[in-house]
Amino acid sequence: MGSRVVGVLLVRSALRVVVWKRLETLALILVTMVAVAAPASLAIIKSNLEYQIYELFKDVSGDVMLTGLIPSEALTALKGLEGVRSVNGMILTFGLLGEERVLAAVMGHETFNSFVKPYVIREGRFIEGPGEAVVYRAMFVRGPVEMPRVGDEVDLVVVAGQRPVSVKLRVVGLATGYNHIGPTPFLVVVDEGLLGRVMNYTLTAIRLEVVGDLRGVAGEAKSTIESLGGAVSWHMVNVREENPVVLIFESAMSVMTLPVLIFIAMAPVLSASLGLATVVRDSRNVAVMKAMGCGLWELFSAYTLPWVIRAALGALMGFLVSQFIARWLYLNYFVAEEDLSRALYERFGFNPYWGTSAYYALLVLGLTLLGSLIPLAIAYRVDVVKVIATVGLHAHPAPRVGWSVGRLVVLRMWVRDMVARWWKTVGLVIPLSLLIGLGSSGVMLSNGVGEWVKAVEDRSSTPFDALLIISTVESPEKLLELLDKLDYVKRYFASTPYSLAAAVEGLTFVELRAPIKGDPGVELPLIQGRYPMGGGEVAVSHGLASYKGLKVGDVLELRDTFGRMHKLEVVGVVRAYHDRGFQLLLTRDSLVEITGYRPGIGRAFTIKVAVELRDPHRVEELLGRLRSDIERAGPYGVEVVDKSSISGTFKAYSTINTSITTILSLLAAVVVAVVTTSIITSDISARAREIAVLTSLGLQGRQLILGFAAQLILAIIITMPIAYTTSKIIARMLAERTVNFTGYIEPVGGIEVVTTATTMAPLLITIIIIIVATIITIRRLDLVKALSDL
Amino acid sequence: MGFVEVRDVWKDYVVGRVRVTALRGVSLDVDSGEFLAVTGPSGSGKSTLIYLLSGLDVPTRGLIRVGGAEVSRLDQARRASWRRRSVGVIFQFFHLIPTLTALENVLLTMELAGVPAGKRVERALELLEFVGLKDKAGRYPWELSGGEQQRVAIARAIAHNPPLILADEPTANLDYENKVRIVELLREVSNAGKAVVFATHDVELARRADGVVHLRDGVVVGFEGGGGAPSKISP
Repeated sequence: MGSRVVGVLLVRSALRVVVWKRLETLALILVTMVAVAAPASLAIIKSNLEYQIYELFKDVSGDVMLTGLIPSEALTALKGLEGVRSVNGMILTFGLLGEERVLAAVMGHETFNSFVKPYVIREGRFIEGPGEAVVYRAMFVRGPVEMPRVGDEVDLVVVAGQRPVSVKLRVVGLATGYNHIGPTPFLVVVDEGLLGRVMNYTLTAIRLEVVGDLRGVAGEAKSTIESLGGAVSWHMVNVREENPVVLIFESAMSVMTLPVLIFIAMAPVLSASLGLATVVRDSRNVAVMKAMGCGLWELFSAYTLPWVIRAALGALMGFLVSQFIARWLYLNYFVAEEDLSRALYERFGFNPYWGTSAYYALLVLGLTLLGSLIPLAIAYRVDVVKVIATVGLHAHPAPRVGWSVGRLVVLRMWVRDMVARWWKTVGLVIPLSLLIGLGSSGVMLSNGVGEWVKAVEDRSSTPFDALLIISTVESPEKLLELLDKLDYVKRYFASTPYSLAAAVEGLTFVELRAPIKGDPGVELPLIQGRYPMGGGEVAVSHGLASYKGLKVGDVLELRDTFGRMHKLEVVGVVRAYHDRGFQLLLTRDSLVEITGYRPGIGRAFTIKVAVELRDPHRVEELLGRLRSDIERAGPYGVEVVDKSSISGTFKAYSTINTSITTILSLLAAVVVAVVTTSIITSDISARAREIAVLTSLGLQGRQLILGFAAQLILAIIITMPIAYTTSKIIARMLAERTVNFTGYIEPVGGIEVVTTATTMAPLLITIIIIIVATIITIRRLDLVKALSDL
Repeated sequence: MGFVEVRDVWKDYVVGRVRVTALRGVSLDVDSGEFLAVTGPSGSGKSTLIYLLSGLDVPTRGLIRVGGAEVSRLDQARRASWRRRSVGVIFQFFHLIPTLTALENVLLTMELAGVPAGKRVERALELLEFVGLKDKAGRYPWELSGGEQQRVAIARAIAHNPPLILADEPTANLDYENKVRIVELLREVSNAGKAVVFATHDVELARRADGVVHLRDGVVVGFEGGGGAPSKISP
C-alpha cells in the first residue's frame, strides 16, 4: 500500500514536471512527432504506390508475358494450359515517332484496357479507325520527353517488311501510366487494319494471367508456341520481388526515406542530453531521495517517466499526423497528374497502413526511452554522502581538467565547461554532425556525378561520339558493311544488347552485350584484364565492379529468366560511363545460352553501335549525315544518343539528388535547431546560479552570450570531422540506393565539402535560431532568485 | 554622509501571484573602513539589502549611492560595469566557479576588472597567502573544505581592490572555528580601508563588527555597537 502511494505521488510528480517544464516538453514532443511522421508518411506512400504500381504492372504484363512470332491459334492452345486463367494478345513492332523509338501496337480496346486502363487516357479518346493513334508514355522515362498533342498529325515509321513504311496518323488520345510496355517508354496504338497492311497478322506479344507456378507455365507456353511453328524471342515472369518497376520505385523511395531516418536519431539524443542535465542539476534531490530509501523504480518515475510521457505524446501525434501528411503528399506530389491520381485513388483508394505508423511510433518511443535510461543510470549511481555533504555551484565533482587554453581565465572556464558538461557537448555534436553530414552528402553525390559527366564528355575516357540504337528486321550485316565504307567514321563497335531483369542481386537490370563487329574499345575500353573469348567468361563495367566489389578472377552469379543460375568468370573490367554502368560483355554463345534466344528470331534485331567520328569538331553535322546514310540504306529505325543527351540525363539525376538532400537539410535544420536550442537553454537554466555569480563578479551580458556562442562554435569545430565521416556514410548509402537509376557513382569530396554553401546554409539557420534563443533565455533569467534559491 | 548611502529604500517582489515587500523604507550609511553587520531572522530582508547594494537588483523606490555613484539609477549594463570595479561579493554557498582552480577563481575577477595581465598572478598568490591557502592554489573547489572555499571566495572578492565588500551569510555553512576565522578576515579587509557589509543571522558573530543593523520584516528596528553613529540611521 505504502509503495503504491509513493508510486502515485511520483507519477503525479512526473506529470507536473511535464507541465511545468514547458520548453523541454514542447521540444521533445515536436522532435518525436517529426521523427515519427517524416519516415512513417514516406513509408506509407511507398507501401501504397508499391502495391498500386505492381498491380498496374501486372495489369499490363500479366503474370507471364511472351514475345516472338506467335501464330494466332496459340491463343486457343495457351488457354488450355493448366494454371492459365486468361490470354491476351497483340501485335507489336518497333517504329519511330519523330526521333523517339516507340513500339507500335495493334490491339483492341479491350486489350488496351487490360494493358493500360482507360482512365489513364489523359486527353481525347481511344482509336476508332485507321488513320488514328493513341500515344502512350510511361512514367519514369529518362531524359526529356516530347509528347504530341491531341489533333496533331504525326509520322509513324514502322520497321517491318522490306522497307520502312511511313504512315501519317492523327493523334486522338494521349495516355500515360506507370508501366513500360516492352523496352521503350512510348507505345503507339494503331488500327489493326493499318499494321496488317505492313505485317502479317502474326501476334507478337501475349499476356497470360496464371495461377500457380509461373516459371513452369512460362516454359510450357514457350513449348506450346514452338510446337505450333512459332518462335519465342523473349519472356518475362512477373514475380513481385523481382519486378523491375517495383525495384526501381523502391530505390527511388529509399533515396528519400534514408535521410529522414536521421530525424529518428534526434529524439533519443534530446532525451538523453536534457535528462542528464536535469539529473546533474538535481543531484542533491536525487541524493535526498536515495537517502529516504527510494530505489530504481522511484528514480525511474522521477527522472525517466517525464521523458517517456513526452515521447509518448509526441509519438502519438506523429502517428496521427503521418496519415494526413502521407495522404496529402501522395495526392499532391507523388501522383502529380490529375487523371492518374484520380485513377489510382478511385481504383485502389489510399491504404492508411496504420501498422507502418505504429511501427515508427513504437520505434521512436523505444529509442527515446533508451536515451532517457542514460540519465537514470547516472542518477542511480549518485553517491548520497558525497553529494549531500558538498556545497557550491555543482553538487557533484566535475572532472578535473588540468589543461589550460590561452591566458584568459574566462576562456578556460568556457572550454572546460564543455568537458565537465560532456553530455551537453555530445548533445550538440551529434545532431549538428547529422545536419552537416546530410547536406555534405548531397554535395559529394553531386561531385561524383560531375566527375562522371566529365568522363562521359572526355574522349580519352569515353572514345565514342554517339551511340546508335538501330532496329532492323533483317540481319545487320549490310548495315555494318555500310559503316565500314563511311569515310567519316573512324571506328565503331556493334553489339547485341539484351536487358536482363533482376539477374544480379540488388540490381533491377543489367545489360548483356555480345559483340557483333568492331573494336569494343570504342565503347567499353579495358581498364583491367581482357575481353571475354569463350563461354563462361565476362568483362564487367567498372560501375558494376565497384558496386559489387568485383575484380579480375572473381566469379559473378547471374540468374536468367528461367530462374537458372549461371557462373561467369570475370576476365576484365571495362570503363562504361555512358549508361547506367551495368554492362556485361560476353560472347555471343554465352548470350544465347543465358537468354535462351537467338537474336532476330521472332522480333526485330536491335543492335547498339558506338561510333567514333574522324573529326571531333563536327560531331553534330557528321551525326546528321550518319543518320541519313543509315536510313537511306534502310529499313532501319535509328535512335541517336549523343554525349550531350547522355550527360544531360546524369545532370538531371544530380539535380534531383541535390534538391532532395537540400530540402531535407532545411527541414533537418529546424529539427536540429529545436534539439540544440533546448539543450543550450536547459543548460542556461541549470547554470542560472553560476551565471548570477559571474554577473556579480562583473561579467557583462554580451560577454555571457559570447561565451555560449563560443561554446557553440567550438562544438561545430569538433563536429566537422565527425560530420565528414557521417557525410561519407550517408553519401555511400544514397549512392547504393540510386544504383538502379544512375549506376553506382562513387561520391567524391574531401573534408572541404562540409564547408560548402549547400552545407553551411542550413547550419547558419540553426546557429541563428540558437543564438536568438540563447539571448532571450539569458535576458529572462532572474539572477537574484537564482542566487537565493538553494 | 557615508561612502555608502541608503535612503528610504523599498523593495517589492512578486512571488507567484503574491506581492512581497522585502524592504520597507530602509536608510543607513556605511563609511570607508567601516565593518558593518546586518542581522535579522530569516526573511528579514538581509540578502535583499546585499543584492541592492551590489547592484544586482534595483530598489522599487528609494536611492542607493556608493562612492558618489547613484547605483540605483544605473541601467543593467552600467551597473555591471560599476560592479566590476567597485564591489566584491561573497556568497553563503561560496559559489566558486567549479571549472576553475582556486588561483583561477581569484584571477577571474581581476581579468574582468581589467587589472593589467602582468600583475595578476602575483597578486592572486598574495591574496591566497593572505587567506592562508597559497599551497592550495591549484586545487579545484570540490577538493577544498567549506571553510577553505569561503576563504578563496574572500580572496576573489577583494582581488580587484574594490572599495566595497558585501558578504551574504558568509559563515552560515561553516563550523564555529571557521566562522570566527572568516569574520576576522573580513575585519582585516575593512582595516585596509574598505567598507565591508556582511549579513548574518548569528547575532554573536554580528557583534564582532563595528556596528550592527537589526532588520525585521524589511524594517530597521535597531542599531547596536560602535563604528557608526546612530544618527546615520533613520528608522
